[in-house]
Amino acid sequence: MKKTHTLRQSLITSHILVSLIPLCFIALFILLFIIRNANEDFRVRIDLLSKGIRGQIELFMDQPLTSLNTIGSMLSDSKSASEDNITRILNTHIRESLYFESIYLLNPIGEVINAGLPVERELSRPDLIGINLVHKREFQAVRVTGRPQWSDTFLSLVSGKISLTLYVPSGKNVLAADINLTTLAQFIDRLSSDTVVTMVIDSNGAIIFHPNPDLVKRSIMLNDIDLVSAALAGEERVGHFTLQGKSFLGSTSIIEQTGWVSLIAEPTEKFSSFLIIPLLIIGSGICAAVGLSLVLAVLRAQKLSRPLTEITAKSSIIAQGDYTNPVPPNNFSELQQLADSINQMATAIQKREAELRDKELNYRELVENTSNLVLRLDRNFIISYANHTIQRLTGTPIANAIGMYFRIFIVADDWPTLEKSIRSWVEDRIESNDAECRIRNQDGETSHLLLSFNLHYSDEGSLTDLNIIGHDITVRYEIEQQQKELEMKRQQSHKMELLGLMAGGVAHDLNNILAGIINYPELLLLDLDKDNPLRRPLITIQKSGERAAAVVADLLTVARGSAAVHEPTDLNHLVNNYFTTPEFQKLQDSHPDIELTFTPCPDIWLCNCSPIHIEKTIMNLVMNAFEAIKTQGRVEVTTANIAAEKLADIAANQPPGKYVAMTVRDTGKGISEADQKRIFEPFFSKKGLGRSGTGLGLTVAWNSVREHGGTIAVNSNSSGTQFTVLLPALNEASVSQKQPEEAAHLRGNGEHILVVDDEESLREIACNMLRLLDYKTSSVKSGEEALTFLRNTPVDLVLLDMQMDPGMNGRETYSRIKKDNPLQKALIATGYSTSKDVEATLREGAGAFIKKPYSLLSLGQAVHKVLQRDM
Amino acid sequence: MNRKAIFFTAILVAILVSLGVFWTNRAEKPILIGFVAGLSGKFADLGVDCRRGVEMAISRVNQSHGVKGKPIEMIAMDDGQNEKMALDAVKSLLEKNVPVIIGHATSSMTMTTLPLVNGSQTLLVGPTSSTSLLQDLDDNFIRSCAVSTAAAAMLARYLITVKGARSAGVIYDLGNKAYTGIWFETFKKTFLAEGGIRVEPLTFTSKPDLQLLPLVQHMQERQVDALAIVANSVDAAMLCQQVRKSGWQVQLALADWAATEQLINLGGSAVEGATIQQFFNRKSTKPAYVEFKKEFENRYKTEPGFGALHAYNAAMMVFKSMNEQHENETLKQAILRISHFKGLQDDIVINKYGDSNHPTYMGVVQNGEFVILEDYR
Repeated sequence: MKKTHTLRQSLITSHILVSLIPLCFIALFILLFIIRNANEDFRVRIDLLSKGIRGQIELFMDQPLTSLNTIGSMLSDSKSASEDNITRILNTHIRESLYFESIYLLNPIGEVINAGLPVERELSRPDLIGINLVHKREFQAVRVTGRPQWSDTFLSLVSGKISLTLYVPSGKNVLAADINLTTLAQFIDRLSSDTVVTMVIDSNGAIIFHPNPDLVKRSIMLNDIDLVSAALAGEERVGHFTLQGKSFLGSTSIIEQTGWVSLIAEPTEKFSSFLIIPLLIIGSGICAAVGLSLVLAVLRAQKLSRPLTEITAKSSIIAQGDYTNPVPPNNFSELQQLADSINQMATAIQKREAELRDKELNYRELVENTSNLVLRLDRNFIISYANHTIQRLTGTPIANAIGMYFRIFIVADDWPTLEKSIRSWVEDRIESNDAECRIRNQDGETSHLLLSFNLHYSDEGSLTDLNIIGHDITVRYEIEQQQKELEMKRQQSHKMELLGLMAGGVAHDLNNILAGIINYPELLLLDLDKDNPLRRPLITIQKSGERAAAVVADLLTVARGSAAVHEPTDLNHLVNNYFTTPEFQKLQDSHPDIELTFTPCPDIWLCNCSPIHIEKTIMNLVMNAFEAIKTQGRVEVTTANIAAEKLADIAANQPPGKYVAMTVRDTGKGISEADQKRIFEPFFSKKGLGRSGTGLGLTVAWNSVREHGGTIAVNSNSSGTQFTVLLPALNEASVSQKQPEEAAHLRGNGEHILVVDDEESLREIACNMLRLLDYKTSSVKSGEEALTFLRNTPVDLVLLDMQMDPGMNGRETYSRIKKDNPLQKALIATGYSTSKDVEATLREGAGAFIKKPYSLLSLGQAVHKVLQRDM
Repeated sequence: MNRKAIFFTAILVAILVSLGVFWTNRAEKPILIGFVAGLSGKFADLGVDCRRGVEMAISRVNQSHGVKGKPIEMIAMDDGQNEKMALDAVKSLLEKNVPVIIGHATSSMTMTTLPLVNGSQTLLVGPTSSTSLLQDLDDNFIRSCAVSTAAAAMLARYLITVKGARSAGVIYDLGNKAYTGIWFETFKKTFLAEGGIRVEPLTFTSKPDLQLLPLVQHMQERQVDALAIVANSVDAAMLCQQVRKSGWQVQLALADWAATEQLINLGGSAVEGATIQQFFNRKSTKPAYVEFKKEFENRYKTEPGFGALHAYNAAMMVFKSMNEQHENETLKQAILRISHFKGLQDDIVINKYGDSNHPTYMGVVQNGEFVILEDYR
């Protein structure tokens, strides 16, 4: 947490800094000035001291020179003096002088001819007398110049101390004296003090005098110090140098006689001590100023901070929501402005708070009361907010829903897709998008929702939370599903229609062909004996033709609009009829373990239907029920009357009215939901190849029933399937079943019948069959010829083909015939015609119609029926 | 980052920088080494020369980051060519636990203090102690100069074969008997073996009030063909002066001990023509020596003597060995392991006893200078 300072602290610090900084700068400038002047004084002082000491040394060095010059003059003047006298003179000087260790008298060729020695060295005299020092540079210089010469310093082999030799002329001879520098050393030592170091350096740069004798003894060389090397080169200087790890300020002076350098030095630290007092004074002044500033600053800060503290306290009260206690006025104009501003701010906040409360209430009501689902999820899809709709949709109270994972409410199959979508939006930084999913309540019921997502991201781009508004689209979804189903059915219907057109196209020609195959064997059989071996092949040909005709009939039934004869029919009667057929017997024989029960409705209403087609429907449904049971089971057939009010329970989409129902229920494995949608499609079959027919069974059944204005309802589950056939009921009483008429009873009495057909073979067959029935026949190949024939020759009946090509068709021909003779009876024959054409022709007066290929019996019945009819 | 974190980071950085600067500029604790030689009296010229040689070596090695990163510092002590002073000086150095003492300049002082050194962990490295009495001994003494017997034998053969001497007088200083005694024995043995007839010895002990003239007169009476002087440079110069002032025209021969600048400075014309052995070639043109000589003269305003050269070699040998010294290895073991060292003029090869060998030159004083007799090596 950031550390804060009080205003008082800040003011005190500012006051101190304001007073201290200029003070420090002034002190710094004063200090720099003092240092500069002190440094200069220090240098001047040390230089003066150096020059003074140089003068002292030079003065000291003059004394042995003067003494030796005096001796030299003395010896030179007393040429007659004996060696002993000379020895005595020299010894006297040695033993009484402080300056000499020994004095040698050298003759012009450099041989020591006499010597003054201290007493303790007197024994060396024989050794010294006679030795040759001509090689000494100083001796030769004296000889050449006649002036005194100082030798380099050397470590005396006698005394073990630094020494040097002074050469002076003495007439033709030369006096060489080893100088005792002890006195000089003592003198220089006295010039040194604790703070001032006096040292002498010889012309080679070695220390020869220093208060520390060890440095002299070790012949420390100082010629690597700039100050010394400059002096040895002839330049006197003042400057800093370091010796033995200690810093000095020194001044050099050159001693003329020997070329030595006197170096006077003071430790630099001493210079620092000069600055202590000014520093103390300045420091004390600064401390006093700081103290005074501190007192003034504290007083001033207190005066300034008190009203601020008061304003702060009032602000806290305002912050707590109490706007009735304004900040009081203040003497400082700035603080007064601050107080006014705070008061204005408090008023503004009060007003804004009220507005915000209203807005917040509105928004809250909007969100809380909307029928839409409103959710907020965190980045882990955990619900952090939910409105009341969550409870309506999921049954989970809001309090429980908060903190739960959103996915818990989503139908499991939908979540992966939804999650994947959200993840992809996050990857693409999409901020809003929609998705559909199902949400499940606690009872397992689902609702379809359209979810509108708003995704929020952090500055770094990661998902922070999501807002979701969910629209309940369950109703809309169901409507859409129904529309989809209707569309599917429409497509199915269209498909069937196309198939019907195709079937119809071929049915006419096929029936014409089949007529020959069925009718000729029938005619031939009438002429053959019962033992005739040709009967069996002819019967086989006839049956094959009939089966082919049945297939064509199925196709024609599939094609809607196929003409059929509708008559009031007892559905129980049709079911019973089927159970007596050989086909059913065969079916039952092949499934011995299947039990069949039929429960007829005792007072079943009649229905207007084509018995042939309904019988076929019954057959197909029963056959399917048997085949749905693999080994053992039961097939139940029931009939029932369905009152209008109960219709909706069975088939909600059927037009209202009374219906008769036939139900076929099996105990097979059931039909899957997907297959239920397709079982009425042509050629859809789950049966193995060769097990059953054409795949048209249920299609024929469906189309037949739909032709009758009824429907078939399917209800299937794993324990079995139930087909319910609904047919519109008639309000007529049940009629008794007509007995089939034998062909013999249908014979005519020579009535004249005109056969009109464009197919020559069919004309021939029809004529033959009618003649066998004792009718007189004529035939023409077109409608135009028929009109011409009838104008000339009246007939009792016209057997009129519906489709003829080229020329007029059956319907047009009959219309023209009716114009010429309104009482003319006619029987319509057709291989395939739409029910509209047939119905229109019948309405115009045609007595009946017969489907090609027809049998002798059916032809006889039809002709008989029309001839019996009154016009 | 808040202000507090910045503040503490700045403080931390300042501390680290200070530590870094301190660490970089910290003064490494120096390695102390000892030096001992005669820095006063008649022997001082050789002692000071040796000390300057060591100072040169220290200066150079410190400029090259010292030994294993540490600077070298020398504690120099004066033995005054005096047994008591020598023992005191060495004791003082041993108390300071110096790993090595370079010194003494004379064999007699080395003989005096070596027993003390042998009882310690300190190694004594002699630059000019050439006595054969310390030869082939496994002790705490290692030297960078050759033993003196070879020089004595060479001088004896030279006097016989070149100067035709058949009798020789030998004046030698008992103050450095460890050197002079062996020198004389070797000389005598060789001289007689090479065809000499007799060798007349005369001894003295160097001191301030010594009378040298009687020694010369005594030897003159024995009428020898050659006079060999085995003494320090001062005594040798004075003896030569006595010979010349006596008018004795004898072939002077000087041992290498006397071959310092002081001999010429004091002897002057008296030492002209004297045969003198040299421990090194003053006229060598080898780059290492030429550079060393130039730097030495700049620094000390005088020419380096054999003491400076051998002390420098000895010091550099020590520093190289310290640098390459293995863990758990003594300095002596390191020197013996390395054994081959570059010298200013010749390589130094140390044998297993710590003795070395190097060429000895025969020379003559000519016009106040030492001149090497190149045809007699």
